[in-house]
Amino acid sequence: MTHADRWLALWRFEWSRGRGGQRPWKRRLVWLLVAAGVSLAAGLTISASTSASPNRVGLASFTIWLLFGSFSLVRAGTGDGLGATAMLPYSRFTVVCVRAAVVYARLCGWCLLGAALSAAINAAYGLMRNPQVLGTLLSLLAAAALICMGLACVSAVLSALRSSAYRWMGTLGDMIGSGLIIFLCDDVARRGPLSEMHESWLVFAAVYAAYGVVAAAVGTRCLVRGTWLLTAGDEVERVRPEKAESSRRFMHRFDPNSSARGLRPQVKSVSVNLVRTAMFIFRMGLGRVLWPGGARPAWRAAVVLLFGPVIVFVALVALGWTSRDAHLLFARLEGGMIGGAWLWTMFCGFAVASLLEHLGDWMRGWPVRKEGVIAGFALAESLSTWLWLAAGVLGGVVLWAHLELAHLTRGEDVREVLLAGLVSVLVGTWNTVWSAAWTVCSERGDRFAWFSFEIFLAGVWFVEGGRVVAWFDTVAWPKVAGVAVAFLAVAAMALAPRLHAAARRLISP
Amino acid sequence: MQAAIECDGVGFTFARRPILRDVTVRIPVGEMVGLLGPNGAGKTTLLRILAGVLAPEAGRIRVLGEPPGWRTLRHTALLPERGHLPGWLTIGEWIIHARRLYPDWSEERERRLVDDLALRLDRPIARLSRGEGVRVGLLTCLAREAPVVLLDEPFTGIDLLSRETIASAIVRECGDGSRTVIVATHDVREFEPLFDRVLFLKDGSIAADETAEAIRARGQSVASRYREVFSP
Repeated sequence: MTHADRWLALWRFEWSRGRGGQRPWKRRLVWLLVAAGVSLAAGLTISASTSASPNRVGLASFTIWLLFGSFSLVRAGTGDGLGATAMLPYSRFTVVCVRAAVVYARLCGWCLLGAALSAAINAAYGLMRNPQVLGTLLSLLAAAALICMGLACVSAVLSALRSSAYRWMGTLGDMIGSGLIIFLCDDVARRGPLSEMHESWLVFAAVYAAYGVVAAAVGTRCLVRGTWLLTAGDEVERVRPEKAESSRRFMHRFDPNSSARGLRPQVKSVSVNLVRTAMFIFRMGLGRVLWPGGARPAWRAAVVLLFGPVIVFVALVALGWTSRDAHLLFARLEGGMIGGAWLWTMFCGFAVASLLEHLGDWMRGWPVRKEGVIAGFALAESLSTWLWLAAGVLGGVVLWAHLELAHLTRGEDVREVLLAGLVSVLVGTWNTVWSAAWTVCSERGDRFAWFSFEIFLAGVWFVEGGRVVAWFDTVAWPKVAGVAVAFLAVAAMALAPRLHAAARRLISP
Repeated sequence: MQAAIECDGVGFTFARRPILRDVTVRIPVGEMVGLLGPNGAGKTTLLRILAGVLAPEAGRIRVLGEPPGWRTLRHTALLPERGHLPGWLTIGEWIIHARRLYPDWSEERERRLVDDLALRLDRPIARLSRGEGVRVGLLTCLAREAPVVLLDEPFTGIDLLSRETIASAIVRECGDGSRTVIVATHDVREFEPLFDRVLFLKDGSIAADETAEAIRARGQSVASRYREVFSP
């Protein structure tokens, strides 16, 4: 067996990972069509809301298409972890290189499909020979090629990093990749004439690619040392004594036999029981959300927790500081906050579903209403959004103060930013519970449709969220209170059947 | 006799807790060794280190004369305790990949094992039961011509009939003395007649290292010796 044969064998094996063995080609075609449709719809909405110029539709659609790829293809590349590959007799460097190359090839293919889609949209608008549009598309492709390089490197070692002390490096790398694509989308869709200078895209993308290479090197070292195996394969999580204690208290509280000892909670009705369960689970899940590092020292956990939001804050201020043309995200900062909260809380739902799956029959055995379990964990998980929102609010206030001093305010004020923060919390919390319930009880195919719809709604929030906040700011407070109460009622009514269905699914999967 | 595995003062610490402490052992080629110990004794960690997927923190190790690293996996077949099978493939698809991935893959052994272990090739690996998963893992280990075979808890969660199938497959493929086999297990009784030698691992250290013959000569079984070593 030659060296080339061995590389080829490893390539084929890694390529099979994202193939999704049991997924028929028809479903994949539908997947592509839905992604194209959602990208086009988002491109049209973004274009209409910012410049009203059709020359942005194809470009904005391309960036949304890239966003889809960064979410789905990178995840497909890391599916089932590293275990299957790590036991193969290949150097760890070879393993990481081949894994990265496979994900990169997939992402490049996805980019080229997106470029073709964008070119087709441009052709439909008669912009095929427009040098500005063509130049921007080529710059986008070049930047995307670099970003994909970073994404591929990070995804190749994501599983190894996640189980090591460098977990933050993988999470951050994953996040920055998506953030850069959103930045591209924002820059393409900004008002004013289409810029011909795109060096900043390439610089940011090149820095990210370099970050990916560094992450891959660190991940390779983790693989060589093998310590990732010590946590990755363990089915039983190492819980801190405090957590075990809280779990004991929880079980004791809901012990069916405890009634004899006069300890059974006085359950008045189903809803009271549900709320009580949700509150207990919320308290139980709180430590996991606020203290994700487990036994990690407090200062390190705090640094890791604050690292992302601080970067968001710095990026927000840095990008908005010198802006003269209204960016999509910053023209209406409020919309960006709500859209961001929506997008983030959608992933919180995935996290809750995966936690429930991890708990498995232990959780099924708890003598409590499962609706409350889902809602409780989701409420705890939604807290993770608050730090990000705080970064957004703080960034907004700083920007507002700067623009006010420079006499460049475009309607934002502190009250609106704060109001946007409040709306984001409400909307984000609801979306976390909804996403968790949906993820638990839906099939894989339905999940993709829902995922696309959520991304589309996030886009709508990005674009129109500011207008909603502005409306809230103009109407009288009693009316705002009325709308809030109506929102809560409708939200609860919409959630109840979904939670019920999810609970049934949890009990009998 | 040439040593297949040599460990001298091997130590490993995780999360400030010592997992292995000063493990020193020499295993000759062709021996079938039982690595016995209670939960958390360090059996899995020792096997991972021997296979080259985990780097030791202290001590000197030689597997077939080489220090452990990824190259060790070329002549060592490890059956891990959990996971590590490609869940996105069917058994048949995995076998096709395995033929290309392992330079020492034997198609003759593969065919024999597929029959012996009663594997259905069209079954998706993600949907296999625990027992079926172990059988596929065992096929992956034993269809190779690897001179060192490390089996980590092959019987955990396996029903009686499957245990018999698995045990007879191990005997058939490794019983001729050409391979060095280490079996980490709690199930002393099933493997007792097969072991040439037994290592008792307690709190990360070798508490006893005895040949099965010596244990029997004292009128003891491996199981009773196990109780003697580990009872508080």
